[in-house]
Amino acid sequence: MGRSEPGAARFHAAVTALLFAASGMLMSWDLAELLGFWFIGGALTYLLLSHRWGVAEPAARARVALALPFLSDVCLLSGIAWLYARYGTQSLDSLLPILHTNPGWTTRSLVVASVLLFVGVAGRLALWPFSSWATQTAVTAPPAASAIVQGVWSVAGIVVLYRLTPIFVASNQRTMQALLAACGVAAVVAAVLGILGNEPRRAIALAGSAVVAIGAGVVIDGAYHHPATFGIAGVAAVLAVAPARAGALLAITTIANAMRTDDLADMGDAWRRMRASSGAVLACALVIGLAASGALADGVSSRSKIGIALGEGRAFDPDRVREPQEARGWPYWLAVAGAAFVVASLITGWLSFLDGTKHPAPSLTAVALWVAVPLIGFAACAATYLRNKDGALGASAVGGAWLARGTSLLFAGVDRFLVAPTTDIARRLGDWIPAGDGALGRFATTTGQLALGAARVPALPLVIVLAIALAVVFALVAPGVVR
Amino acid sequence: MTPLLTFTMATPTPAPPAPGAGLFTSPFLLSLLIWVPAIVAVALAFIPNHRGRYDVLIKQIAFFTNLGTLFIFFIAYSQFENFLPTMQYEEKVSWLPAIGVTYHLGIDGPGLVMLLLSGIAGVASVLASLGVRERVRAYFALLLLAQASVNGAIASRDMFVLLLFWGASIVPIALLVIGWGGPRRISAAWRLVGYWGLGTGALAVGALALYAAAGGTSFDMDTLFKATISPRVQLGVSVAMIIAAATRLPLFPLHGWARDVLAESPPGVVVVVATAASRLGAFLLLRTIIGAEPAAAHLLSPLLAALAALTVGYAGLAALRTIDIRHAGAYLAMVPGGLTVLGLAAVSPLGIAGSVLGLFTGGLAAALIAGACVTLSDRAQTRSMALLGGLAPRMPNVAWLFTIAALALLGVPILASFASEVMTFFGAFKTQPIGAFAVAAGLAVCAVALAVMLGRVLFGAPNPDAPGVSDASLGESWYLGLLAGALLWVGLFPGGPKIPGTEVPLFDPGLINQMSAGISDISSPYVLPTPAPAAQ
Amino acid sequence: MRYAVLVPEALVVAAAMVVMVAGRFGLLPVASRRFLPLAVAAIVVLALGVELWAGATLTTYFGGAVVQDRFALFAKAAALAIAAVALATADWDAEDSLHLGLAMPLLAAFGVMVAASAADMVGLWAGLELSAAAAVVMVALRRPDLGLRLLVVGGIATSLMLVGLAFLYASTGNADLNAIRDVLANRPPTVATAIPLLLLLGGLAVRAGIAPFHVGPLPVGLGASPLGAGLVIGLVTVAAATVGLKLVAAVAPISAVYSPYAAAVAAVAMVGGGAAALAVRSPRPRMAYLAVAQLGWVAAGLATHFRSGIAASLFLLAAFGVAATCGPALLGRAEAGETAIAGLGVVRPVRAAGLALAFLSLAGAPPLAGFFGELAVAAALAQSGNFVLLGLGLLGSILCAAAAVGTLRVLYIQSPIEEARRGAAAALPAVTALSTAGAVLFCVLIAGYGVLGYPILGLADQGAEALGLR
Repeated sequence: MGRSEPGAARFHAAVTALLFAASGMLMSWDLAELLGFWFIGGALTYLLLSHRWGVAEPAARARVALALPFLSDVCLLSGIAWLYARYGTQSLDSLLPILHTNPGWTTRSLVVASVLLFVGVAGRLALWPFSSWATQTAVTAPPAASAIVQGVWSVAGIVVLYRLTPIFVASNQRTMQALLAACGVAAVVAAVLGILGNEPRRAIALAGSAVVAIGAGVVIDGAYHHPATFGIAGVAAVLAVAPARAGALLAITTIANAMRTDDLADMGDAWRRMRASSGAVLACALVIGLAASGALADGVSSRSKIGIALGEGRAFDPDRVREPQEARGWPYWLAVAGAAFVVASLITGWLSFLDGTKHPAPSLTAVALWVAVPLIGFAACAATYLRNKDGALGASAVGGAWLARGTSLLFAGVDRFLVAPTTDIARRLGDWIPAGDGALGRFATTTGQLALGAARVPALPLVIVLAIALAVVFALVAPGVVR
Repeated sequence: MTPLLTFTMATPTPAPPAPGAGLFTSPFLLSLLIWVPAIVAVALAFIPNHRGRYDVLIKQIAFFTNLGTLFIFFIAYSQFENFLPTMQYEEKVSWLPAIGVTYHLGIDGPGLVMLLLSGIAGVASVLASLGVRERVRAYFALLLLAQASVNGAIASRDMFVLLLFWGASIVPIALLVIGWGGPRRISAAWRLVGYWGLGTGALAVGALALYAAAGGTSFDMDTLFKATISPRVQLGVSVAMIIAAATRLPLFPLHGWARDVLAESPPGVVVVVATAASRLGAFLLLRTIIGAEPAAAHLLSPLLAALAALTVGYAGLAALRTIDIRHAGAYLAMVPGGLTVLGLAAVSPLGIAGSVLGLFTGGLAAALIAGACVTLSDRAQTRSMALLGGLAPRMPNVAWLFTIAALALLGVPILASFASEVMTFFGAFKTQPIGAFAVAAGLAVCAVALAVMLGRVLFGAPNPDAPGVSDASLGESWYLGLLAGALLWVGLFPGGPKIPGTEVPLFDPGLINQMSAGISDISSPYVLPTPAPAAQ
Repeated sequence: MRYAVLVPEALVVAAAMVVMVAGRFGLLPVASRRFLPLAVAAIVVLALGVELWAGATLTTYFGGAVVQDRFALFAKAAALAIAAVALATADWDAEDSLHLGLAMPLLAAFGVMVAASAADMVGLWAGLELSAAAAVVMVALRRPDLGLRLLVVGGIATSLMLVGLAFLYASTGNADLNAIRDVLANRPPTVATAIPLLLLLGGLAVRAGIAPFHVGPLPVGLGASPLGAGLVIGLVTVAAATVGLKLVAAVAPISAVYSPYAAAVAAVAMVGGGAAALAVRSPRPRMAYLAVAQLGWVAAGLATHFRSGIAASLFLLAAFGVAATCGPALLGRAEAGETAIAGLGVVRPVRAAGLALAFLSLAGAPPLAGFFGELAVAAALAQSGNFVLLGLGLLGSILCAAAAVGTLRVLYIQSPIEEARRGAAAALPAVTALSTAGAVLFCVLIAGYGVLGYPILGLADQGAEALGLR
C-alpha cells in the first residue's frame, strides 16, 4: 500500500481479515464452513478493491468486483446446497464416499452440482469470462490490494477446486470434458485478450488468469485421466503463479506511477531508468510464463492445447522517471517465491508433499516441450518488438481498441436487450402497481360519490319505490315462496 | 458436529440456564410486553406538553419503556426452556366464551425470536426518532402503540386475538406515516391502510373459515390447528393466509405499500415497519400453514417459492433502475422476506429453521438497509442518486453501516443473515430447486443493484453540485449500529457465548438454542435429509 | 320488588317530562344550565344502575304485553348507557334548547326500552315511533324544514311497517311475537306473508337509515344540532334495529324469506357506507356513513337468523349505538367541515380522543367496541357459510378504516386554525367538567367494551336465547 493511499487502518484490517478468510478456506473440509469463509473473503475483496473512496473510476470499476463474483458465489452456494439437499451432509469427508451410494442419487444431480461448484470457484479464480472483476480493478484499485486479492484467490480457489474434483469425477465424462474445455477456452481467451490492449496491469491479470485456467484444467484433467495423481500439479502451478502475478502487478504499478501513464505506447526506456522494476517485471513474467510448464509436463504430457500469455515481455521508454527505493523489495521477493514454486513444481517430492501421494517423475521431453512453449512465446514477442516495437504496440492498441469496442458493444447489447427490458418491466411495475391501487382508491371514492349523490336525489319516491320493489323481488325469489 | 448442523433445529438439546435465570417470574410476562407500552402510550398521550416543554422527557419515557420491555423480554429469554416443544409463558383467560374467544398468549422458539426482534426494533426506533421535533407526544404514543400491537400479534395463540393485534397496528403506523413522513406521505399512508387492511381482511376470512370448519366453537389455535379439516378448506384458508402474509412482508405483487411507506416514513417508523411489523407476515405463514396445514403446505409450496423468487428478482431489478435512494432501500428491504418465504416453501426442517432465523435476521437487514437509505438521504439532503456521490469519506459512520447493511442483505458471514441464508438454501434445494435457483439469481441481481448503489453513492467521486452533507447524529448512528450489532452478535455467537472452559452460557443462552424450541414440533411432519452410511 | 324493573322507565320518563314542562313554562332558572345536564345524566345513570340491579328478574307486565327478559335487559341497559353518555358529552352551547335537548334523548331511550320489552307488534311499533318522534323534535328545533322532511320519511316508514304488520297479523292471526313464531313454524311461507314481512323490514330499514334507504333520514340528520344528529344516526337506529331483532326472531321459521333481503341490504350498506365515508371529508357526514356501514354489519347479523348471529348483532348494536349517538355530540358544531376539527387533539385533547375512538369504533378498527361487534358478527357469518357477505363486509371495513384514518389525521396531525379565523361554524366545544367526564366515560366504554366482552356478549347471547333462538 502506497504512502499516499488513504485509510491505512481500514486497508490493513481488510487485508488481515482476507488472509484469515483465505486460511479458513484452505482448512475447511466442511462445505458450509468453506462457504462462510468464501463469502467473508468475497466481501473483503470488494472492500479492498473499492478502497479508494471519493474517486469516481475506482468506485465505478469496483462495482463489478461485487456483482460478478457474487454471481459465482451464489452458484457455489447453490451447488453446495444442492449437494446437501440430496446427501444430507456437507462435510467432504462424509460426502465423497456416498456420492454414488446415497439413496436417490442421480448422475444428473451430480452434473448440476459439478457445474455449479465449478462456476462458483471459477468466478473467484477470475477465469475468463469471470476475469473482468480482476482486470477492471487492476488499474484503479490500490496496487497492493489488487496484488493480494489476485494472489490470495488464485491459491484459495485452486485448492478448493482440487478438493472438489472427486465430485466432478463422480458426475460423468461429458461434464468433465466440458469443464476441461471451459478451462482451456478460458486459458486461451484470457491469454489472447492479454495480448490485445496496452494496459500492462490488465495484461498481467489476464496472463495470471490464463495460467490459473491452465492450472484448473490440469487439476480437472488429472482427476479425469489419472485420478489423484497429476491433478496436484495444477495446484503447484497456481502456487507458483500467485506470487509472481502479485509481484508483476506491484512492479508494473511502480513503473506506471513513475511514468504517469498506463499505456505501454507512452512508456519506454524503463530498462535504463528503472532497472529494478523492469527486472522484477521480467522475472515475474518469466515465472508466470513458465509456471504452467511443470503442470503441463506432469499432467498433460503429450497434448498441446494452450498458448501462454505473450504480452509481458515489453520494454519501456521513460524520460522523466526515477526508481523508487521500494522497487527492489517485494516484487523481487515475490518473483523469487514464484520461481521457487515453479522449480518445485517440477520436483515430484513437492507434489508428493502437497497431496501425500507418490508421483512418478515427468519425462524430460515433456518438461522441455512445455518449457519451450512459453519460451517460444517470449522469443516471438521479443522478436516482434525488436523488429518493430511501435508497430507491435500500435497493433496491440488497435486490437485493444477493437476489443474495448467489441466489449462495449456486447455490454450495450446485453444492456439493451436484457438489462434494460427487465429493469424497465420492474420500473413499470413499480409505477403501475401504485397507479393501479391508486385507481382502485379512486374507484372506491367514485363509488362513494355515487352513494353521496344518491342522498341528493328526490328521497321520498326513491325510498318508496325501493322498499316496494325490493320487497316484491326478494319475496318472489325466496325459496319455497312461489311454488 | 459441523458448523451448519449447529444451526439445525431438528434435535434440540437442553442447555444449562443462563446466569440470572429464575431471577424474576411473572404469570403475565407476555402481557407485560404488550400492555406496558400500550399503557405508557395512553399516559403519554395525555401528558400536558405545552409548546413542547416536555419533549425530552417524553423521549426519555419512550426510550426507557422500550428498554424496560427489552429487559422484561430478556428475562423471558433467559428463562426460556429450549428443549420444550410446547408453548411457554402461556396465559389463558376465557374472554368471549359465547363465540369461543380466549385471551391466550404463548410463545415458542419462533415467537421468542420475533419478540427479540421486536424488542430490539423498539429501542432502535426510539433512538432513530430522537430527532423528531414536531408533535413529539403524539409521535411516541403512536410508536409505542404500534410496538404493543406487534408484540401482541406475536404472542397471540388465539386467532381472534391475533386478528385484533394484527389489525390494531395499522392505524398508529398509518398516522405516523401521515404525520411525520416525507412529501408523498399521504399516498403512502393510504397504501399502507389499503394493503394492510386487505391483509387483515384476508386473515379474518382465513381465521373465520378455520373457525367455522373446526366447529365454530373456538378461536384458540390449539383447537383450530388440531381440528380435522378437509383439504379444500385447508387450501382456502392457506390461500387467505398467503394473501395476508404477502401484504405484510411484503411479497410481490402485494408489495404496493412498501416503496412509499419505507421511503416516506421517518427512520423510527421505518425500523418498526421493516422489522417485526412486516416479519409478522412470514410468522403467520409459519404458524398457520407450515405448522398447521401440512397438506396445504405441500400443495402450495411451489406458489410460495414462486412468490419468493418473484419478490427477490423484482426487488433487485427495481432497485437497479430507480434513482431515488430511498426507493432503492425500500425495494431491497423486500429481499429478506423473499428468502424467508423460500425457506418456508422448502417445507423441510432445515428450511423452516432457516426461515425462523430469517425472521430475525431478515427483519434487521431490511430495517438496516431501508433505515440507512433514509438516514443517508436525510443527512445528504437529497434522495437522488444522480446527485449523491462520494459520501463515504464525508459520512464514514453512515457509509460503514450502509456497507454492513448491503453485506447483511447478501448474507455475508459473521452477520447472522448468512446462517439463515445458508440454512434456507440448503433446505430449499431439495424440494424447491427451481425456486431456489430463481431466488439465488434474484440475489445476484440485488448484488448488482447494491454494487451500483455503493459505487455511486458511497465510494464514487463527490458531486460538487450536491447539497452539503453531514455524518449521522449520535442517535442515528446508535440505531443503525444497534441493528447491525444485533446481526453481528447472533452471527458471531449463534449459540451464545460460553464461560470459557464450561458449557455455561455467559449471559445469553444463544438465539439458536432458544429458537429450537418449537421448530421440531412445527417441522415434525416434514422429512429430514439423512446421509446414508459411507460405502465400505 | 317485581315492579322495581319498571323503575328505570319511570325515572327516564319522569325526568323527561319534568325537564320538558319546566323548560316550556320557564321554570328553569338560568343558573340551572350549569347543573341540569349533570342532574339529568345522573338520573339516567341511576336508572341504568337500577336496570342492571333489578333487570335480571324475568317477568311480564300488563297481561304479557311487556316482558322483562335478558334481551330487554340488554337493550334497555344499552339505551340508558347511550343516553347517559350522550347527555354528558354534548356541547350544550351548540344545542338549540336545553330542556328539549335533555328530554328528547330520554324519550328516545324510553322508546328503545319500550320496543325492547314489547311482546307484541304494537309495542314494537309504539316504541319505535316514540324514538322517531323525539328525533323529529330535535331536528325541527334547528331546521323545521328538515324536521318536516324527517316526519314525512318517518311517515313512509310507518306506512310500510303498518302494511306489513297488518298483513302479518292477518296471515298469522296474531300480534304476539311468540304466537307468530309458533304459527310460522308450522306453515310454509307464502307470497302473502313474504311481501308484507319484507315491507315491514323495509320500513324498519327506512327508519334506521341503512343504505340504500339512507337517502331518507341521513341528509336530515346532517342538518340537525349535534345531539339531534346523534339521535337520528344513533338512538333511533338502535330503536329500529331493536325492533328488527325482535321481529326477525319472531319470523325465524321463515328465515329463507328475509335472510337474502337482509344480506343484500347489509352488503350495500357495508360497502356503500364505507365508500361514501371515504369520499366525504366533512366529519359529520363521514361519521354518518361510517354508521351506515356498521349498521350493515348489524343487518348481516340478522341475515344469519340463528342465536349466535342475533347475539352478535345485539352485541354490535350496543357498541354502534354508543358511538353513533355520542359521536356527533362529541363533534359539536363542526359545521365548517374538516377545518373545524383540525388540530382538535391539541386544543381539546379529551374530546378529540373521544372523537377518534368514535370514528375508529364505527370503522370497526381494533381493539375498540365496533371491532368486537363486527368480529362477532363475522364469526356468525362464517358459521353460516356466508363468506361472500363476510368478504364484502371486510372490504367495507377497510374503506371505513381508511376514512377514519383520514379524520384522525385532521384531528391530530393538522394544526388548529387560528382563533381569529375560527367563526361560529368552527367554534370549539366548551370545556366543562361534565363534558370532560362524558368524553372520558365514552372512551372507557368504547375502549373497554372488548375487555368487558365476557359479560356483555354473554348477556347478548342470553338475550338472543330469550328471543327463542337456538
